[in-house]
Amino acid sequence: MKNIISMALKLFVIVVVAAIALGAVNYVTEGPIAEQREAAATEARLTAFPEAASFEAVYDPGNDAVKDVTLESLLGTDELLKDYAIIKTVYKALDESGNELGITAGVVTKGFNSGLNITIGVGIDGAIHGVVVGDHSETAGLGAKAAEPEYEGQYVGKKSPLDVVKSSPGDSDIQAIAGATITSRAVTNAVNTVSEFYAALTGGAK
Amino acid sequence: MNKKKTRPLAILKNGLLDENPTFRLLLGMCPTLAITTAAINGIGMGLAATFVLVGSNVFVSLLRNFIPPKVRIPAFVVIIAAFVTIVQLVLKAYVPALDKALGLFIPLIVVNCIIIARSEAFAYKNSVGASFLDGIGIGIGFTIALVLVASIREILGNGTIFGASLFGENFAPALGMVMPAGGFITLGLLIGLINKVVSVRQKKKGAH
Repeated sequence: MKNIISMALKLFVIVVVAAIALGAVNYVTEGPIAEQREAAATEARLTAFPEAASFEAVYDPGNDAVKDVTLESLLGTDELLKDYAIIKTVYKALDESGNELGITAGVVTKGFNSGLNITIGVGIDGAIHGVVVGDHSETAGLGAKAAEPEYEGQYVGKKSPLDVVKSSPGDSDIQAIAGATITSRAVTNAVNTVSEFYAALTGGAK
Repeated sequence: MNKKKTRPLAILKNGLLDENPTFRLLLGMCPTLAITTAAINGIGMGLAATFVLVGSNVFVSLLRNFIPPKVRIPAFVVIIAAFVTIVQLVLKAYVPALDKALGLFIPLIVVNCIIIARSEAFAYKNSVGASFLDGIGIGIGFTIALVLVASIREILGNGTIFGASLFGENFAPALGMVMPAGGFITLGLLIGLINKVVSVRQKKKGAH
């Protein structure tokens, strides 16, 4: 009996020490991690919209300045297209004198696995300015190729609606990654959705 | 086998061939099959695992007189999980570049049985120094094995090595090699080959 109590106590001590250590590390790193995440998001926006001089938050639940804005209130409707649920942040891309050049949208969608993060830049004329695939858990060597500039670059300059084809892509086609059609479709659908959303947004303003 | 304790080089070498975690101990098969689609992944996973392995080996070895034998496995699990999480948080906060390269693999390491197997089989019974060396040896052995499997799969399945194209435009890669089936085939053939090498070596040793 005494043996069991001593054993349990020792295990308890190990668990408590581990928990305290984890809590302490989390406390110290929480701030820097949030900063890193913000820096990464800004960088992704800039890569998705290289022409922009600055960005202005339009919709970002994590940003205090616009935390009350919802996608519904932006579009002025009660009923939201189901597809728009993948849009997590919207930033306006501005030139040096503050004119609107387009938007960048942070999207979290599902490719072959869930948690596929994409930042998409769409110009005011509807042309895609850039697509950046961020954190994802697609298959290494297959779907993960979506994060390579070679694939991302295909979108630049094209206009939605885009289609995914397996060979000889035309002006509104995206060449699928070999063996990863599902990932290619997910990225392309996200691009189409964001384009559609932006069209609805600017259309609604007029 | 007891001689190992006194010869640091032997502990290091042990993990490379005789007790290579992938080919000889058949540990960590799941991450091996999952990530060996590109050689660069092998290095990332291998280095991240080595780092955690060394750390957990040292911790377990330090605490080996404190941890009661009957509850050692839960104690190992807590120590390893805590260590991995701390490493992950620190990388995320202060070395984002490294986190980007290795971040994907770190959560996989928690469930990598090599780590707990070395705690149990080695660190719990040996000194801190020896456990440190064992961590490095096994880690390097794991890295080499991963890079070997991944190189074969990447060359045949994608026509590239470390992302660099090898054969030019006309090469039609065998896509199956980067699919799971190719992983099993490559791993199986390599395990057979390595076992043959080891048994020939042991026979030679016996003859002397």
